[in-house]
Amino acid sequence: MDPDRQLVDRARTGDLAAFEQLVERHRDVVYRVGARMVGPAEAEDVSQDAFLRAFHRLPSFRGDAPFRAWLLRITQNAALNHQARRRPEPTEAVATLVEDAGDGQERTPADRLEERERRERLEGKVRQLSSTHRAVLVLRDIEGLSYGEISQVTEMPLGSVKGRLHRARGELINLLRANAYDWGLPE
Amino acid sequence: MSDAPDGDELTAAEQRLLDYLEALRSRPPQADDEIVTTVVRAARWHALARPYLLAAGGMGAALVAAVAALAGSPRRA
Repeated sequence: MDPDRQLVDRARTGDLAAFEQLVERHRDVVYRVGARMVGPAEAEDVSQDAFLRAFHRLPSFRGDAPFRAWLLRITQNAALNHQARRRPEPTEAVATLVEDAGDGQERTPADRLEERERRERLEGKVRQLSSTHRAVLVLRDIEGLSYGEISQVTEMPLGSVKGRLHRARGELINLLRANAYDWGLPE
Repeated sequence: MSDAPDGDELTAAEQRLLDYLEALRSRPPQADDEIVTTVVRAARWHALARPYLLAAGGMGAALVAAVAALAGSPRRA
């Protein structure tokens, strides 16, 4: 049973309080997926766009899949539309970071700065993935959705989800290996 | 959230990649609290405007159909 079903039914009849509860319940995951797909600067626009699209499409929501999966599908499409409308991100500068400071040592500000830069670089590389690969990788490896739920979000069979995820990881590994920064990925 | 393990053995590179991605997962971007207010306010406005927009759209469609019918009607000699 979809935990959102009652709220969805009420929202479909125009109950804005029910819709508000749905937004409250799902805003974090929608925002996170938007941010992972297009970057933090546009995540809020993508989130608002996704929720408003969902609001308008509620009458056509049939309940074949849970509301959350349906909403994430709309989020994914909203993110891709936003990305298609804007210019590509600038390519990153040559890395000037230091290597690991070593285990067991107290983390210095430099360590924290490096960790943050590494995270930001990785987020940038995720956003460089092809759109079909990015969606499954974000949903599975970052958001931790089950294969079943990703299948509902992407409307792909389970086997295709697994195959696409495998190729997505391969694409990301290749992107990281081609990067000036040493990610230490084994062959 | 996850209910299924990866079916295949991961390569060393894939395992390292998942470790990096775990670092992203552990520091998720946070949505602003304002987002709920903004979305609901916009939805309320859309709900109010929808009947008028639909009516305007209907009138526009009728106008286009009328013009098309006139333009497509056979001319008299």
